Amino acid sequence: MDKITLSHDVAVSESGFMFLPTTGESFTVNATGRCIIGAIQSGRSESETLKILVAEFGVDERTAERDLREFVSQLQRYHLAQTQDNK
Amino acid sequence: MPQAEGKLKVAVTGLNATDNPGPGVPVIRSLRDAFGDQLEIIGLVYDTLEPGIYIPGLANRFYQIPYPSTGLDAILARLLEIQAREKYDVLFSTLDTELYSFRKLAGELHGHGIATYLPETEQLKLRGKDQLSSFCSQLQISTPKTIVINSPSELNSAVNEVGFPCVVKGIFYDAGIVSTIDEAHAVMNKMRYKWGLPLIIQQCLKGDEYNVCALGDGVGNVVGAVAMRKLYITDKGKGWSGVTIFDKTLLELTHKIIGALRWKGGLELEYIRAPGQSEYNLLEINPRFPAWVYLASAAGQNLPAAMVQLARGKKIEYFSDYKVGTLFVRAAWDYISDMSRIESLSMTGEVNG
Amino acid sequence: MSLGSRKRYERPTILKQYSGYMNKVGNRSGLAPTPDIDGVSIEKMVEQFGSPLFVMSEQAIRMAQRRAYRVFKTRYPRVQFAWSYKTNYLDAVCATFHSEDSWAEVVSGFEYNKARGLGVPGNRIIFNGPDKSEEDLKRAVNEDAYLHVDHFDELYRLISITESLGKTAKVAIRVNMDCGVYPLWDRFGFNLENGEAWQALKRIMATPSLKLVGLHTHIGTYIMSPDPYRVAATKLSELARSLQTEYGHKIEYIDLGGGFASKNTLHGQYLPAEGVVPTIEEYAEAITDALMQHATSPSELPMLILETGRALVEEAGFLITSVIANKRLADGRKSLIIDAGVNLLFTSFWYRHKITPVRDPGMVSEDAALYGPLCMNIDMVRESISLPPLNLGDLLCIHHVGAYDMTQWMQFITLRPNVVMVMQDGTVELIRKAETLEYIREREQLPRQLSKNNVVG
Ligand SMILES: Cc1ncc(COP(=O)(O)O)c(C=O)c1O
Repeated sequence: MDKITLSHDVAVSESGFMFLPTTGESFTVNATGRCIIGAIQSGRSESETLKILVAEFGVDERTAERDLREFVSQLQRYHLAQTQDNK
Repeated sequence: MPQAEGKLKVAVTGLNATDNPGPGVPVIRSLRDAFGDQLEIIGLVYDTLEPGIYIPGLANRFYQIPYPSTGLDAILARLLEIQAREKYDVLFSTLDTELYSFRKLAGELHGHGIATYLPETEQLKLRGKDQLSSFCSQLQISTPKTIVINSPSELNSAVNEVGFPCVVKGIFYDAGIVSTIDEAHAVMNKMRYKWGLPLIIQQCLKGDEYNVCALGDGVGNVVGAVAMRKLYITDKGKGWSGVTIFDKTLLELTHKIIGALRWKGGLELEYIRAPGQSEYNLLEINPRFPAWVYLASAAGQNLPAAMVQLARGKKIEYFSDYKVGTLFVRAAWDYISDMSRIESLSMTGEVNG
Repeated sequence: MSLGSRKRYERPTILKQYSGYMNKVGNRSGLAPTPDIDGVSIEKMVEQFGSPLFVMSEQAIRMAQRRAYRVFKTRYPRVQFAWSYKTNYLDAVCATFHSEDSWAEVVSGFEYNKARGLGVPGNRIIFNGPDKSEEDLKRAVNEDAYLHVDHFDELYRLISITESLGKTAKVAIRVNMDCGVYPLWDRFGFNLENGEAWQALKRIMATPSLKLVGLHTHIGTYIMSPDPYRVAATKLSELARSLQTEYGHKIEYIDLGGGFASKNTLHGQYLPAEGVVPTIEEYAEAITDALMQHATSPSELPMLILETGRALVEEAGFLITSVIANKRLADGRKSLIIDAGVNLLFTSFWYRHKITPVRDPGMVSEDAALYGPLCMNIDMVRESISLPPLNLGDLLCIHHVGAYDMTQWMQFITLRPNVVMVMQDGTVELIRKAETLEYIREREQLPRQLSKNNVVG
């Protein structure tokens, strides 16, 4: 599985607002997204993050995997995260 | 929530005091002058960066509302949500694009204790940029040659008839002066995607610009009217400074137009006059107060305050005079704030004043 | 699906904030969910009838028709609506209109026969349109229908038919004219300004087997202002007066066709239609005012016929669709694929439909392109619409699709779905069954030379 790291020292506020001090950009993140960013920040792997989603929200693992993939690609698109191929 | 008994609460839109300013900020300034600490202001904003949000003390609280293009249900729901919390007395609309929606919602708002003072839909249409030519010819007022185009294919012939240079105008906002057919097409396409069709092609007259800011009472009378000559015009055509003047002709024209339209609410009349000529050409009738409305208040006619009183059903005395030679100069001034304001507005839709 | 006390799952979303773009609060309130239609749960209907699903509301149809009658009848003594079949000719829809005292307005033999099949007598049918076959005309004459003549060829054909049948036909002519609406619909009927209309009327007056009963026009559709109706009503009234002075002939009715604008917003329109299109009161005021001004006494007033289509039925129709896939486009924009495309939503070519989620949409929303299920590039329901994160199978409700969508829909690539009607008593009736492969193949024939044995293997 891929290893995901955040490119910035980001802080998402309680409300879901995220301001990047290095670039001046701001983002809004919903609760599910916050949960994922939190997991990545605390060094969880992709499969661990999936488990957290399933446990927290009761979503099925397939859906979680699919949504996590898209979310991470959005993070990459915004230059907020990198992934490393860990075959 | 601070809410003193007996205070007047007015919700005002158009706090986009940018280089293409909405009139909300000067409207609030006028209301504060008139009502002092008996007044609370609710700022209604569309965007998190509307400068009014960052002017200390401008409003007691700001709320984000959905854009006029979102649909009436959404706008009404939000206005009532805010009403449930704030119990405001008057909704003071200051932007062209809101007027149709707010007009349609006026009855419903009234049912919830919110007063408005707005022109009828029919009056809005009559003064529309696309109707200006026929309106002026009926009243025998001069106006530049104007052609309305409903499809891009009509541009060439319209431009041929009007001649270069000419102005391409959106039905609500925006205008661009063009001198070649290629420019005309470029400007048309830009505006078409933003504002849709129709577009207005207007002959470009040269001369001095005169504007009148007025308030009509809905039965044909002029509550007040102040004329101004622009002294400095930005490259976007906005008056950056101006001075009040008095010319009987301008006043008569104002009475004629407001009388014919039976206009209810604020109004701006834009004229151009060639040097040495006596004839004013009417360029536009804007269905709301201009961004320079505070000049009228400073010169002795606080038209926004008068309008609030009329909206509340109060009897007022109509204005007859103002101070000629009152000058306004707009200045750029940077306010300092913090990202937390943007955060509050984006995440909760509201922020304190 | 969320379980017990767990947090509700919403697809993870991150949105970059741009100034000048709408932030979520503005969006959220714009997307109040639509859980039911007239109190009947949309999810339950989809469970029973599948997705996509067209839903008609009996109540909405009746309310619209009653309101229209009230608005016109309080301004004018004699008003008759005639249901424009082409707008929506599902039997259940037509029957609802007929039971609200609306006649039938048809433009083909097919529509005529459909109306007759519903029990509408000929003398409550208005037969418009440029294509009436010999057979159609004969049936209509025999059944005493109102024939609105579109062109001279039809006029001469009708003269021969009535003479050979030895019967009198009730006729009107369709008139086209300049009422300030562009483009001018001059391909239908006889032009007023060039004198053609008067020529046609003269010919009718000279034909004993034709009884001139009315004057008809239909000036266009989605007319954004009441003024053209004022002009049309005035011009037809003047034409009626000329008939009176020249021939001492009094017509029975003036038919002003359809064309009132509805609450759907056109693509090029910035403001929502509900804010800018005239109300039915405003149209009524313009029309009845013009008619009244031309009458010398109330007894002189002709009956006013209206063939209003979209403005009466559009809001009574809903299309329920579900999310098939979430997709990111190459440039990062979000897109959604739903199971109803332009095959079912013909009107999306010109309307920006109101589309709402069926369930509470949650907190954030994001602009997305909305694509239908067809493997065709044209199948785009909306270039950009702000929607909350949706999971597979989540339902969306597309509003105001009661007009033209259920007649101009296409059997293309896939089959057309069930259409149900939510009845006033709260029950849900199937009014058109979903198509099946057998239904389509039943019409086809495979030449013997190409039969299975010869083609395969
Ligand atoms: C003759 C005639 N009558 C009535 C209608 C209904 O028009 P609308 O749906 O615009 O009201 C049409 C539609 O094209 C028509 O052709």
